[in-house]
Amino acid sequence: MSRVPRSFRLLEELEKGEKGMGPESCSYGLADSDDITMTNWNGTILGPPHSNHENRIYSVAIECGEEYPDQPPQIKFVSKINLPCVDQITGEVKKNQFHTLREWKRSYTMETLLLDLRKEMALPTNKKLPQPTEGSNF
Amino acid sequence: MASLPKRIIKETERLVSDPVPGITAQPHEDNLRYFQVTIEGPQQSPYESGVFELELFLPDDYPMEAPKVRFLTKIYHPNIDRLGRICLDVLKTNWSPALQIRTVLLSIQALLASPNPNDPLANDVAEDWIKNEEAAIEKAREWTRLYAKPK
Amino acid sequence: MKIEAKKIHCVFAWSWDIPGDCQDGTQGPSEEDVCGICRVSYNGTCPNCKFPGDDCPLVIGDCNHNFHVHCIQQWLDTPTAKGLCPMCRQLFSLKRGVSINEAQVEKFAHLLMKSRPTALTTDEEDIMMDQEFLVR
Repeated sequence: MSRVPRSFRLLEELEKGEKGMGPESCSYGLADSDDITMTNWNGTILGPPHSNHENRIYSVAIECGEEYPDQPPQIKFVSKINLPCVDQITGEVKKNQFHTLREWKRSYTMETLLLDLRKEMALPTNKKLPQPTEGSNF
Repeated sequence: MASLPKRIIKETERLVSDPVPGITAQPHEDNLRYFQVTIEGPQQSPYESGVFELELFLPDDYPMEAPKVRFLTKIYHPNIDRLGRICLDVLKTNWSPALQIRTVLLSIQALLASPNPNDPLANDVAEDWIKNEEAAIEKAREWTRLYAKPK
Repeated sequence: MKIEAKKIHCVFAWSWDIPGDCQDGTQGPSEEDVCGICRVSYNGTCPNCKFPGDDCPLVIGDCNHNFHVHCIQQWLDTPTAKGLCPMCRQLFSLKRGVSINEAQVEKFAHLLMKSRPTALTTDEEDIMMDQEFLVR
């Protein structure tokens, strides 16, 4: 397999996100539709059922740096959430404490990341964690 | 990385030894399917005397699948959107494996010479173009001066 | 004088039997005799084969455009192809009465059935086509 360059990889992801071809439980798009470098993205994750996150919609901000997708993007929660891998002051997902970021592979996408965060919320150890008031932000 | 198909090697050699006037294309050293491209704006078009940077990538299925091409230089054109994506039939539904990198780049240069607001990608630009062609052309000239300066 | 042959090296050459009017107007083999898809000589192989000849045959289109059979089949199998010749964009079919085409006729008949929306045979297909156009 040849190595798809960063920009064409991001355009693929953008098209998939725009056409809504992905799963319904998450969405993502460019934060600034004029940004030719396609660095900053907005995402949402629908809280998993049978958990304290049920029916909540979490906003996240994703930054795909120069080295994406060889290196993972940086991702932070905009909506307040109580999860062990999320810094409780900045909302940032801590790379060392979240396996998808720590063991990042080139084939992973922003969608992989959002869906894995959703799985993280649904873990038996996490799903009943007390959550901040809905609608509050970091 | 899998070895490069002969056809891609031949095309690359010819792009260097027998370049198309007004167009350059050079593969990146670390990815021979990924090209840095420049296209000079065609004469008598609003893009005249501008030099536009593009990037081109040959996917695994090339030549069964078209190359992927995008403008890196900002350009005001009804068939090119704000992210540099190009609406051109030969890059999508009318691709043929008889086409090559050079013919694709020539088609893009031709698209600069004859914008087609009736088949738009950048909707707002196309609307401007249809409403007031003169003003749109002037804006395209201005953007060319601002962003497509020769290096 | 007596000559004694001690060793014989057999050398042979071959090329596909391309009827004269299918050679793009050129005479004899030339630089231009390359597959329009992979740009390797007719007598060479497609990018996926190692041995030229019967393992990687050449076919001649009704439009007189020639391709390695593997190349043109791979193309006709893509949705973009719409059954068209890459060179002239006419519906691609094998030229009849050409010996090297004969072994491939059946494979192509199958491919063409898939990709030839205009060659309709039943009303049902007609209706389906109409609906497809409406959706577009």
